[in-house]
Amino acid sequence: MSEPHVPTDLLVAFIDGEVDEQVAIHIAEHIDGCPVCANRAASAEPMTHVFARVADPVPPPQLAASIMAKLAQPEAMPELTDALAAEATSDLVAETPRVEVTIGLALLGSAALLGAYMGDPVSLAVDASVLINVLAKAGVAANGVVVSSTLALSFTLMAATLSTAAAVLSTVAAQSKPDRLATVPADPRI
Amino acid sequence: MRLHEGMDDEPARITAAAGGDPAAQAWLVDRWTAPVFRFSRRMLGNDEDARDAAQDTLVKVLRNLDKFDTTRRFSSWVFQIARNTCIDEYRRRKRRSWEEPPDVADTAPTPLAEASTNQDAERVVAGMDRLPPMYREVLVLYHFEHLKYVEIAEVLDLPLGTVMNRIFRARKKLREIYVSMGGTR
Repeated sequence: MSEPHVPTDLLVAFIDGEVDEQVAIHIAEHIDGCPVCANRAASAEPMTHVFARVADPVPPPQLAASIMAKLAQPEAMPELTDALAAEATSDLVAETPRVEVTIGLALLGSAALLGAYMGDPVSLAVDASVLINVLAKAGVAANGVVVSSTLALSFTLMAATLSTAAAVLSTVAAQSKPDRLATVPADPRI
Repeated sequence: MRLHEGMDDEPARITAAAGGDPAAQAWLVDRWTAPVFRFSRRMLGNDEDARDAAQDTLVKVLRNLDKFDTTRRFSSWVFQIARNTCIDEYRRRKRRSWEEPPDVADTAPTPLAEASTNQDAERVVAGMDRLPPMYREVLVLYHFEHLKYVEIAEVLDLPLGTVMNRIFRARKKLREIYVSMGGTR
């Protein structure tokens, strides 16, 4: 039975001359009789003679001085803090108008509902629920932010509830008014 | 000066520099500017990026000396910081992965190689530039900076066997490129 092939890590160490002499002799004997390992060793030959002729990149003469100059400066923590602060501020700036617009739209919608459906609480309730869904979906699609859609939903619900209550009260008032008028005795002078 | 030369008093300099000694800091900067620049230049491929990476690396090294674990090799720590700095720069510039798959190296001859067909050394340089960074770095650290396998394993934070397998594959790939450019076997 033939000897197993030399493990890659051992082969590399052998090629680089970094194994003990006894191990090196054993591997060399194996390579002599194993075309597979001989081929592997040849393909991983380090080309040391070529590497030795490659010129080293030379740093610019002022590099060390510029490093020392940068070290003498205070650490860049304030820049980091400023950058983080700017990022946080931009988030706030971006968030504030979005919330305000959402609240404004919800209140405007509620006011329109109240005006349009005064005296028809059933239609108001049905159409308010449709509007709530539309606003919620629009909030998610437009901003991709849960806060925005949640606010829209909350304010619309609140406004719609108030609108419904106001409409019911106005309907009750409208229905009760003729009865009260009916109880007023007719002015005999008319 | 190569990496393992003239380093006898380096531990004492590191301690002094960590304590704020300007002379010790200057000594460390002088000592490490060239190796870090060479590594960065070979990994990033141009002087300007290499200069910036070397400067960033050594500023990070000097400002974090108090965090250096003295049970580790200083060379491994410095090259690890240099490598991370180069990875950041490489990703920023090319928006590509450092750990690129092994079969993507371009074996087409470069203008540089074609113009210097008699120069095996230039073919190796051009071939190195075509290697994926994960292969290039092990060859740079081993052949040019003369780190030991175990030091390279520390820099890359990889098991020793993985490093040696990577060196094997890197050499094989470099040889293929080198021969494809007309290099002598």
